[in-house]
Amino acid sequence: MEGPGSSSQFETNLVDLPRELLMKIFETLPPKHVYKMSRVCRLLNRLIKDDSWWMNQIQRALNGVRLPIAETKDEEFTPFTTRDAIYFEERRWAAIAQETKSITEGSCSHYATIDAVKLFKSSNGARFCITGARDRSLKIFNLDAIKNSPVNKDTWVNKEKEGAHEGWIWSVDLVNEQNELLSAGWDSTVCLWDIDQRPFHCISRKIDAENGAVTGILADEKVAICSRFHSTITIHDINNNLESVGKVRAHQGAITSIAQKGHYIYSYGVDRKLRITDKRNLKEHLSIRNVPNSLNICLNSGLVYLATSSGEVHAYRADNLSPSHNFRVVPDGNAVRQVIKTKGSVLALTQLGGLKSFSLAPAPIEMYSTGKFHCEPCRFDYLAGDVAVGCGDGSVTFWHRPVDL
Amino acid sequence: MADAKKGMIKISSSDNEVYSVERDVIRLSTTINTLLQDLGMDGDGVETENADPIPLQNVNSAILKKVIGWCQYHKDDPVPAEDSDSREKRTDDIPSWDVEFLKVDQGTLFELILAANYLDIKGLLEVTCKTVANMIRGKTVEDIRRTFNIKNDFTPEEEEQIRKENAWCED
Repeated sequence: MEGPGSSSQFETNLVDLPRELLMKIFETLPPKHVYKMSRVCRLLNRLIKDDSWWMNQIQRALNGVRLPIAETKDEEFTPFTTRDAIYFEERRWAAIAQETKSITEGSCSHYATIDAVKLFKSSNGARFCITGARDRSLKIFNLDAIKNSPVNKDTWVNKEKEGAHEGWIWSVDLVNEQNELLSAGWDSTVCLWDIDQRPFHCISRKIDAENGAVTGILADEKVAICSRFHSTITIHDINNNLESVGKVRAHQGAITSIAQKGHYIYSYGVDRKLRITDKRNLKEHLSIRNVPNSLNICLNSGLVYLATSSGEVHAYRADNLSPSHNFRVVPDGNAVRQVIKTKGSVLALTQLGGLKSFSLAPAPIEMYSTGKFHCEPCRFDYLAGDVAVGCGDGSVTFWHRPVDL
Repeated sequence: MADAKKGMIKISSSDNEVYSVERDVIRLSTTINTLLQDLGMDGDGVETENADPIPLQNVNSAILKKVIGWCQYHKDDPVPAEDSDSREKRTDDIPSWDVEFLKVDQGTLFELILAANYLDIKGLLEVTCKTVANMIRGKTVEDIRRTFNIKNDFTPEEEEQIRKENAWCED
């Protein structure tokens, strides 16, 4: 390519092109690189430091479709970060076809179904995955060890706790993304662990048989929020031996999935209702809605996503539970086990068809499908490109975030 | 009867050069294609040879010649799907003929982008835009200014201010 110094009969410069054409040129470049170009000159600065530029880039990336209103109105929404996340997710799921997955076996696997999977990063950037299973044990996997020694699987488990509960472990969460872990399950017990210790140490344990098994647990700063088998949401003080500090009968029958943001708790139960409860005033529900039979809910970017047993994902506005959009994940109507919405993608774990990634709704395009797992997958987590899927045979399948993303 | 002149369309550049182009070649321009259909000049046996040339006021002869050359080479390409679902987001896949074709000075390249946009020639717009994107990729701010001869019109204070604003997204 000849440089600008070469003689041309045309004086046209890059910055003379209309905004629409600059947008087309820039759309294939990494959003962060485009953002950096706002430093080149005033004209580019004015164009690029404008939300409408990035809204337009998002719409181009989504093949002309607009994001749901609830998503763009969410207080945390910024057009640039969403465009950047879409770009990241597109490349993450394009890269996966070339990646080797790591599957646990032997002593590094659980010996029963895994119902709880949680990925996290320590403060020094090391990547871990916590799993809880029906074998009553908790394991913490070191993802860097898995990546660095794919053959020597004995090094994969960083820490573990056998007999952590007296029944199936159904849910885990990290407290403030720090060194404290909450676990709960079939034994109606909530446990708080210090995972810095080896083997890790139980800080407090709360048995609450009255409200039944704990189907889901969420750490919310100083409290643990639990969805319970006996129709209730219970709240426990993390700093005071997990003593009960709140309880509400929220559904008719078992509550099977729970999500939370700010003051609001979203719950789904076998009564097929989706409900919003205000943490500060548990007695009043803010909104309640009949929804399709679902296996799991996920809250992100102003929308609640439901994984339905008929193979679809349904999204409802988080502010008033009015329907936003839905799409089919599995053609034959088998269940979607779990859905995770990220800033740049929607991920759905299907009962029989593997894990699928989709571009952002409302007109999602399938980016990738892992295909069938060696046995039925139960639960997964996704964090910045890392994937962990827990299966019915006690194994965990990992895909690592590609290094060059 | 086969006629050598059949299906030839006349177009004229902004500097009044007239070119006679095969119908099959110029169909790549959606703008001209639509115009011909609207004018009823699209059917078989329609006499087009004696019609006035279609004036293309935004494209001069040097660029129009290049554009016709590109269309000539690509006239048998499959028509891209109308929905843009499959829109290619990679930029490392420019066909080698196009890479050679686009070894031109920057002024010409930008004029080609403008012409491809005006004439609505999707394939040409795609490869020209990707070519420019590849010239930007991986470059520093200073490299970009140098490559494209863009004057830094910020005051030092403004520059410092923007550097601070951008710090969060730059490594």
